[in-house]
Amino acid sequence: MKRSFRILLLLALMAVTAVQVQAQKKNSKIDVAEALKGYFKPVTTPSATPDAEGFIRRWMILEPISKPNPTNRVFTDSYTRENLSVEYFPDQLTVLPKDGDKVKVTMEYQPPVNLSSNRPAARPQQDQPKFVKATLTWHALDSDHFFVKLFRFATGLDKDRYGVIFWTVTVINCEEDIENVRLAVGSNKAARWWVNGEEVLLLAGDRHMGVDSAVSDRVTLKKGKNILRGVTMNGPGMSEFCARFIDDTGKPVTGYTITCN
Amino acid sequence: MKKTALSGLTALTALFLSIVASAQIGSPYIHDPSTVVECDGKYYTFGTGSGGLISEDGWNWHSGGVRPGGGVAPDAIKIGDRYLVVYSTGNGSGLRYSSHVYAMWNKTLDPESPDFEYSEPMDLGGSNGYEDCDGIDPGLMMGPDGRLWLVYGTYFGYLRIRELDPKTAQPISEPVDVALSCEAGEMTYNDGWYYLLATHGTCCSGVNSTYEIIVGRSKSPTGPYVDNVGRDMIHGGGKLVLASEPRRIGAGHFGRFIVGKGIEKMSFHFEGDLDRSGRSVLAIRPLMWKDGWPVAGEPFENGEYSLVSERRGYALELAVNNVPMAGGMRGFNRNGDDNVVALEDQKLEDVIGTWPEGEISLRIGPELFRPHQAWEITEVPELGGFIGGAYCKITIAGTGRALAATAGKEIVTVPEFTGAPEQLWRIDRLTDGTYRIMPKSVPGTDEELVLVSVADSTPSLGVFNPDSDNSKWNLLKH
Amino acid sequence: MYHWVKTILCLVSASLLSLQAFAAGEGERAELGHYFAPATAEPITPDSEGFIRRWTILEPIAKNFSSNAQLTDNFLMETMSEEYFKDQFTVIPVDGSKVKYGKSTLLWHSLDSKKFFVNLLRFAEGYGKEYFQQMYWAVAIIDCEEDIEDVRLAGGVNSGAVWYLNGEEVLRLTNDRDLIVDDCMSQRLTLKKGRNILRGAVLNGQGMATFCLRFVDGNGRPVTGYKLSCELPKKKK
Repeated sequence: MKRSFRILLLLALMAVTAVQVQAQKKNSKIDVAEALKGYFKPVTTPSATPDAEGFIRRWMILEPISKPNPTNRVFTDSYTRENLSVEYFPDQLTVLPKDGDKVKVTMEYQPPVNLSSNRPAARPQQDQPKFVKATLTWHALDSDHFFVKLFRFATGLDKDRYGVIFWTVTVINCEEDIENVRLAVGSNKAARWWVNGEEVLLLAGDRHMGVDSAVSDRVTLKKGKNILRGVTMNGPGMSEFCARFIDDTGKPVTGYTITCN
Repeated sequence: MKKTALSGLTALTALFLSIVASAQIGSPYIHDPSTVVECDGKYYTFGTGSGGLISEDGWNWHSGGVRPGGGVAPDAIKIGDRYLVVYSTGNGSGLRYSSHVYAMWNKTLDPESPDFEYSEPMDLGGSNGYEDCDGIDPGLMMGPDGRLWLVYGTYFGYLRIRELDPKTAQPISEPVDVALSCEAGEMTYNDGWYYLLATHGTCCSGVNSTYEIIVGRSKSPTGPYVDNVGRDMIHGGGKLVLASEPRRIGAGHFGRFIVGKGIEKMSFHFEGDLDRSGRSVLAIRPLMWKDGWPVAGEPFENGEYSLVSERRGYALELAVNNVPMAGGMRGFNRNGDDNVVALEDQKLEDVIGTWPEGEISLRIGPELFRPHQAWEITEVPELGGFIGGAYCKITIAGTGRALAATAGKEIVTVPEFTGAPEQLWRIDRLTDGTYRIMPKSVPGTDEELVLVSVADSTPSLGVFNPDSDNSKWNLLKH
Repeated sequence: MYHWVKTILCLVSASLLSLQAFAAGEGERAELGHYFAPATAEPITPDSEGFIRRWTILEPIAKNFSSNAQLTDNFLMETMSEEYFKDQFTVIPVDGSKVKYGKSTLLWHSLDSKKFFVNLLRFAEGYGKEYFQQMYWAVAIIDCEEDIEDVRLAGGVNSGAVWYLNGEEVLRLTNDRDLIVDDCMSQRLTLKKGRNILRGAVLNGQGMATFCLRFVDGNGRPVTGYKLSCELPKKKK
């Protein structure tokens, strides 16, 4: 059974039992290291390298922008492109944020999910969306895993977890040009990815994270600084991605460093 | 190519309709062909009588091969930088079953080459006319250890194997009886086993022949060669490899041709080709290996297929919006009192209006048997071929939209097939039964690249790796 | 490739190329003793693989058919419906006894094959007879101490044959076959306690002429628990 369908069933159950929905805490004074324990650590070193399998673990991640997607079936190519082309904040395709930088966004309001249920659910779509202003923070993080668990980033920081958009960016530093490499991404769910401002991947569909699930055409990581940027959008359920560069034989590329401002 | 050129192409295609694409084209008329051998980029096979066939591409064959000595059922093998050709003929005694095998060396098989000169024939022995052996139908094998073997014989008694000196081709062992009730023996080695392939049944009766290729295997080159039910070939055993196929009757005189690791062909003749007046013709088919046995692949069949990656099992598809089908989830009701109806497949006309008109890129996605995953694969024999097949066009079924290689070593679909080389695809059945799909050429590079799953969801072009499922595809018939 | 075609080609090639240097070796006519031994009064068992090696075989009867491809079901049935000699389906032949066929007199020979199969071509050749386009009759006498149930007669032949057990047709091999162990099998049979007669005729147009027969059990294993004998003339006994 598709998870989205189960969620709908649960929503119906919720209505019948009239569960009291608890308001989600608005937490501004959160210990990031503690909150993201097991998944991320705040960046403490000047630079990092890809792991042995080439996965990029150092990222600047923006707190999620609410974009209520009632199911994961909506992520067609055109829906993905359309909704990830909206300007959510200024310079979103060029900014190189610092840890703690704030971003002001206007986003669609969604009430907190019911955390007392076994299976927290996205809210049903409302007839008249309400928009709210919010201030979101960039976090410089090293993932504890080869993947970046966006869902745990959101829940750890007590933010909206379903129907959200995550902006992520990192800097790849090369001593020489590295030619004929491909960006390989596994993504749950829809996403767009750019290398040095050029879109290299559009990932549509109700997809799940598999290593090297989709790759870009061949690109060159140029000598010096390269900007790798991705935006991931989910509906109800898990959200995460893993990203690495692979060479023409499918082997991971590891000969570069990764920095955050 | 412009429209006029395209209609010219269509007319040309119509001309070729009379040719069954999966037969070799040209004049592939031969009986008892030797194993196909490559020499300086051309392919050669010799037959009973004199002469043989030559092909520039392994697809279009014509006469022109030169082999003195006459006689019957030759075989050929490349050893070092020389070619060894064997054949058999009467030894002059006039006795009915008195036949000997003869061998000749040549530095090239190309009659136009200045180096083309056969050595004097050497007698490798055979039968004396009284014994239970008929010393014809020789076959040669170079073993994995560099030892050279000769097999010969027919139904009149035993097939026999003897070792030859690979430097001189002179016999260095006494013959050993290894099989009964067959002829046209050919030995080969694969993955720890020696195989004796031979031909059983009635030959030389055109479309009424019952010739069929059989096999047994052994851990030793001198046998015993045992079939799949444990029966020794010296008891008449033999597992069938190929008998006939629709329109082509009586497979015999097996030869193995290794294109490269994971890609093998078998060359042989059909006694009677119904599309060619029932004449005996050269045939080349994929050779596969399954559970330690050689298996003949069928000729390629035009049709509508899914191109399914061996990597993940997903299907090559146009990168277009998924158009949902009407209906959707019907709930979890298990009652049988619903009126059950058959729903129609999604049709091309349901979705084609949502597709862009120009080039459309590709991806690989879960197989749903939808129009953007349905590929019409059609041989275009008039545009050339390769050893064992004609180039194909691969189009979205019901449209002219064609798969093409691009200068960036990627793939794309173009709105119409033009016959350009980057739109022609060589489809080889691999030894494990999957397929390699390779463009005739890739713009801007001389590299030989094939269709690969570079990621679960991403197709591309890359170097063929026979050990990687990324390089392999399955053709799932719609 | 069929030998007659090849032979023509070989001869043409040989003469064309003047390959006198490759003259025939000093071949010798194969001795009958290489293939058979005379049967003795002492019964034998089938060999360890169950093959029946003791047969009483009639010198061949000429049949006018050039190609083994003619050995269809109809051809075999028509051929077997003719009477070639008196009591051909009932006689238990004595070694050395005579049969009149047209103007010729043919002899029965009780022999033990030295191979698992019976080489009829060498049999004919050994007795100085023609061996192409011939029909060969053969009889085996099988003695069982008990009923042996659910066995099958299994055989191969070059090139066609019909076999009868105790007067019933049990196995027909048509369409230019080759000597293949267990190529065809009868339905399940019972070898009855006492004497059973296995009888058949093999037809061959060109090339080698051979057959092999054995009984196998329900698991395909050879049946060996019986005796094979022959009828020898009194003086021989």
